[in-house]
Amino acid sequence: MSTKTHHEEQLSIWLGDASKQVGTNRLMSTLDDLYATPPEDEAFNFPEEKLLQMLSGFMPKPLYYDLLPNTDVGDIWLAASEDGLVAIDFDQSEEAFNEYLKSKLGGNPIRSEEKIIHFHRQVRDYLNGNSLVMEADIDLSKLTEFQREVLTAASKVPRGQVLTYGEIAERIGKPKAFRAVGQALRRNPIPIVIPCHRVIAADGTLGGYGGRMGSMRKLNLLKLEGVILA
Amino acid sequence: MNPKPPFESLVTNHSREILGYLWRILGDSGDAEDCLQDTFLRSFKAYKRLDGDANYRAWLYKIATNTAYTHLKKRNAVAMRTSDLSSDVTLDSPTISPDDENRFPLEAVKSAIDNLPNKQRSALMLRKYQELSYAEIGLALNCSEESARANVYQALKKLREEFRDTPKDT
Repeated sequence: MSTKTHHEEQLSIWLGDASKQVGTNRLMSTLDDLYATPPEDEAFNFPEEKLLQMLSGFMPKPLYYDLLPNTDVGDIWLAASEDGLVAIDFDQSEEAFNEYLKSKLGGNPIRSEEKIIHFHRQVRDYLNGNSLVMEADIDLSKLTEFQREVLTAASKVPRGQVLTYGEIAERIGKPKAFRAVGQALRRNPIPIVIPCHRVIAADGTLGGYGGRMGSMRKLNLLKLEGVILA
Repeated sequence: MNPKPPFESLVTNHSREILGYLWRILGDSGDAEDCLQDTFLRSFKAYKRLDGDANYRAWLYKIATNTAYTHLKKRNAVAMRTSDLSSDVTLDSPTISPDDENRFPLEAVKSAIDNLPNKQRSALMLRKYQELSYAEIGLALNCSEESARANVYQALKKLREEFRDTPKDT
């Protein structure tokens, strides 16, 4: 075993590797003068705020979500950004809905009853037949221009009425695009609030059997609104 | 695997100390600030691949260290191209300021620090001024805990050889 020299002992203490207090020496004092305290200049003012601002363009936006359980059309998950409602889905697990919010909408899911309750009330009111017009703010910023056009046209179909895919295609000035209209409605991220269930096939059948809505749910919603299909 | 905290919390909890470290390595606040942004941008992009059980602090220091030395390499290359002056400072016999017997000349000590091998300089700064454990320094510098400790003491040994000191007890 070697015995520590006085210098080594001092250095160990200076580093925090030993606790015995002895005097400092010139090298340590000089190093401390140079490096112990960063300068008081602009770079050291609120670096975390500057970084968060810089990173905000890269960070996923928070998407708040919550569950509206046991409705006439099943469990309903709702999600909203700060700008409005972004997604509604049915009978999903929380994990699956979270994954959808992350991977398809690029968001950071945060469960929050407080942020969603306003939308819950509106959907609940609608399902109870108390409200004819959904007034929820919606955020379609993640969709393509065409999808937005189709969904905006669909959202103007009043309760109790139905249009065909072809009629929506005509309303957006693309009469031949009825199949693409069907696809866009099938991928409607906010069913119920954007009433894609009010758009049906030209032969009077439901159309749009797949997707997030599902045929039974579509039929139930139309019945709720007093629509009787031939 | 533990759930990872939101990246924002890493920014809030560690950006100030990482900035201090970058300033200690680079010796310039503006460069340190630039490298701080690079460090957090790089770490933000890599965060989703990071294991939930990782030591986040040491991981950030690792990225900061790499960013700082990449920056230093570029800065030195520019300095070589733009200046004929030698940046070497003679450190063989540092002069002692006659009016301050308690300090060595700051410039001479700073040059000696700058001339240390990168790993030794980082290890010393991480231990003394960032207060990382040797295990964390090992993670940050991609070496064992023993090697981290050895680098710190090698740095100090070199400095002591250059700046011979007379012990002054209290």
